[in-house]
Amino acid sequence: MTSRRGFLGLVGLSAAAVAGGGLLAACSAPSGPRPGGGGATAAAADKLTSLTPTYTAFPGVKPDLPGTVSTLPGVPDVSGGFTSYPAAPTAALTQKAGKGGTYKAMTPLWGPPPPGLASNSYFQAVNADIGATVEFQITDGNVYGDKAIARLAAGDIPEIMVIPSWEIDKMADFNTAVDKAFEDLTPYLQGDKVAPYPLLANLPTAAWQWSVWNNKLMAVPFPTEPYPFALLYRKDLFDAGGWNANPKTADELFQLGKEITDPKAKRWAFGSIHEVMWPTFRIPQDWRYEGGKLVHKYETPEFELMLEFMRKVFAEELVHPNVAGSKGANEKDLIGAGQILVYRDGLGGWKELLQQHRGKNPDFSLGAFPLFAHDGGTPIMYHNTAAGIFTFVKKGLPKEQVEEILAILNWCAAPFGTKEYELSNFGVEDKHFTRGANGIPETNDLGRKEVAYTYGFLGGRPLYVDWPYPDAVKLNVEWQNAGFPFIEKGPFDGIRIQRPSKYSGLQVPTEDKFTDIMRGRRPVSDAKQIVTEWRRDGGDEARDFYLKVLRDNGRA
Amino acid sequence: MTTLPPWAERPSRVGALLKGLLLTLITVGVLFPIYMVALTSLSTQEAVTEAGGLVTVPSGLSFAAYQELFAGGVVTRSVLVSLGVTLVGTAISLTVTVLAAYGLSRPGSLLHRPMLFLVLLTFLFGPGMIPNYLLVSSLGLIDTYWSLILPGAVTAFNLVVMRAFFMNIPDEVTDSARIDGANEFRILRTIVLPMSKGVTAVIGLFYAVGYWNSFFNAVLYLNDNAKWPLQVVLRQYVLQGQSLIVGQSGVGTLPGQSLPPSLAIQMAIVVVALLPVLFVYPFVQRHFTKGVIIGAIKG
Repeated sequence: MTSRRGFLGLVGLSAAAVAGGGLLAACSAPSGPRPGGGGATAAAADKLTSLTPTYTAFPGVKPDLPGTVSTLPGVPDVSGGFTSYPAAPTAALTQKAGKGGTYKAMTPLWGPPPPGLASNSYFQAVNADIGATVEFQITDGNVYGDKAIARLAAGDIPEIMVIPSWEIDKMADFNTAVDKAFEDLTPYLQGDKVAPYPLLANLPTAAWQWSVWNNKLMAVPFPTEPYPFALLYRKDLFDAGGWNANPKTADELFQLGKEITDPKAKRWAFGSIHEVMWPTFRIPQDWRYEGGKLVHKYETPEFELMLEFMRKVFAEELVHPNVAGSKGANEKDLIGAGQILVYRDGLGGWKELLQQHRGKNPDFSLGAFPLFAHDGGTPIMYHNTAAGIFTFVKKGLPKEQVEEILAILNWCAAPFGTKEYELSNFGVEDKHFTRGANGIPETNDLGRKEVAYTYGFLGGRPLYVDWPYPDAVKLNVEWQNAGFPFIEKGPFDGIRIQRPSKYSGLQVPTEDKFTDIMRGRRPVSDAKQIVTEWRRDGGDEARDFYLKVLRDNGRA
Repeated sequence: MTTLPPWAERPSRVGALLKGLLLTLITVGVLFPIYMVALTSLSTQEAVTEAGGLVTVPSGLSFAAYQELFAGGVVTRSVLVSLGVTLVGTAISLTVTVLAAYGLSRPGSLLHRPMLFLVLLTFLFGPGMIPNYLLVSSLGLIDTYWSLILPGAVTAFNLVVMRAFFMNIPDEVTDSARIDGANEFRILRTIVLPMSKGVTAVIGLFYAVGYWNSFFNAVLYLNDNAKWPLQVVLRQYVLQGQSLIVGQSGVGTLPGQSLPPSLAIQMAIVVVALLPVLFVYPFVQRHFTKGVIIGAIKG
């Protein structure tokens, strides 16, 4: 399952910019890739296909850098990218979406709250364009799950409710709750019934498959990008230093680290990189199925190789001391200041850094290392699940209201390059934003005050790389397309799995122990011991669960 | 020549010096973090980046963080909400606590033992978040300011402390008032409360700080974000630390625009949240020490 940090990174809403990071670390598992979430038992994607809306591409906008259409079950598409802002965004919809209804919508927010509807001309303008009144109930994104659980338990459900997948993972009885609280959307959207909502039909099928609970289509999904992370590097400094930005083996990466690191110049090669080293060492994303047995990533010989490599990296002091010494270092600040040159981040972090630094330093640029395997062979890469956030509709509303809400969500699903997208993201031209160089909207003071990411959470849209930095868009889309063939095919691809909570809970404490090994606080030989503890504390139980999932789906 | 007990002897120079040094160190230890927080809140992003975190040496001062905080009107509004909730809440809490504590401190009160038992029970068992939510919602308090005040209006701990204090007031004093014809309310108002200024001030401070810092109740019970108190709004800033409007999609970013320094904003938030307590504390502190000392001697 897509983690919160990973997901917010994708949509450029990274909350990981918070200095310290402890807040986040306390609430969520590390943004390692995780298998699908949601259903209590598992359901295979092929069985879900009959429930999903028929995919019809929206002809209105075409990215000038095409992406990759995913044929892998449950793996998101690479949506492609735009190197320029459309000269004249056109309206995607010809008719008013709403019929004058009023709906409350609960959405998370990771940022300063905007003024309420009554004193917010942005909300008023968007509602006027939609033709209905959406009244937002914004809630602190970090404690969103607590409030969502309380409201679900009390049956106090707003007409439209957004719930991120990582919060659903924490809700033990969501499978029951979802039926009690939310409307079954299958009768409205299944197959060709989606026709009245062309922008919802434009969402990838893989994402829709993730919106199925209890064999019913329950929510409108927010699609994701395929990749949980990449190794980002400071391209401008690499070019200036003449370093090799295309290491082909783990050794080459290590040598590169030695070349770059110069503590006297306050320059270290790496921030945290170990999560990218996992696929680099061909450690499976979660489980490997071989010879009728499931082997967990911690149990693979590759994992130990990776530990040894990372240990060497730390021992040689190639990692910035603030990163090596504490969990709290803000790596974005460090790479921004040129104190580290390579680190792991979601692709959204790339944009965030450009936003922070391009202004003052026009040469500032980043790149992502092409995928490589530790031994120079064929690399693998992990993937996110296809939807990260879900929008539900309250159960028991009259048919006309459900249809109106779906029409509103259809409006909100308008992709980059449409009038609706512009309005929902930037507000009204000359009021909330002005058009700057290359026609790119530039938010003004009123916009900064009133416009908040709210309508954007109501359902999703294809995730185009739409940054205002054409050079970076090109690098990003090229990297994504180039990496796609290497996405690991796992034994559970396309199966929605409710991750056993005990198994999820093991991740952080276990990986903390492995971190001790990497940092040289424990010998590598302790890895076996850690795995034994992991198996005892719930790992073996999880293995049985996952094996049953494979058997139930006829894959074992 | 009389021999002085060891604690009454004049300290040696070395001893005095060491003591002074220790006290200075402790004071610096307390003040320095506050200094860093305040300074960082006033620093430019360059200064923050340069320092690699909290700023200790001033370089490049700016009020950008505070301007950003108070620009939207949302923060200002929430300050008013927080002040209102704190004032009203503290008044209600103090009134109820004083009355309940006094009643429970009089041995003859109706059902005072079972009632005290019920109060003490809440030390051991707290209802969970969801039962609380169900209660608040069935009382129709969702989305009202009362949801921030009523669920936590009386804290068992404060009630017990206050009751213990009242019980230490000698019976002779209240008895003499009763002989003069005073009823219980009058005794409470004219005798007991004036003798309990210290503990009342301290408990009032506890309540006020509690209301000022109230965060989770507000997140749970308030759907309308125009009603949010300061702490909730400020935390939204800490979560992102930079204006989300800029961060959300990238297209809207002005390449030349420098984002407000995120760490600086966070520290500005700490300062804003700290100030009222900092202002109130010196006035209550007198009572605070007195209350504690009196309690200690009376035993």
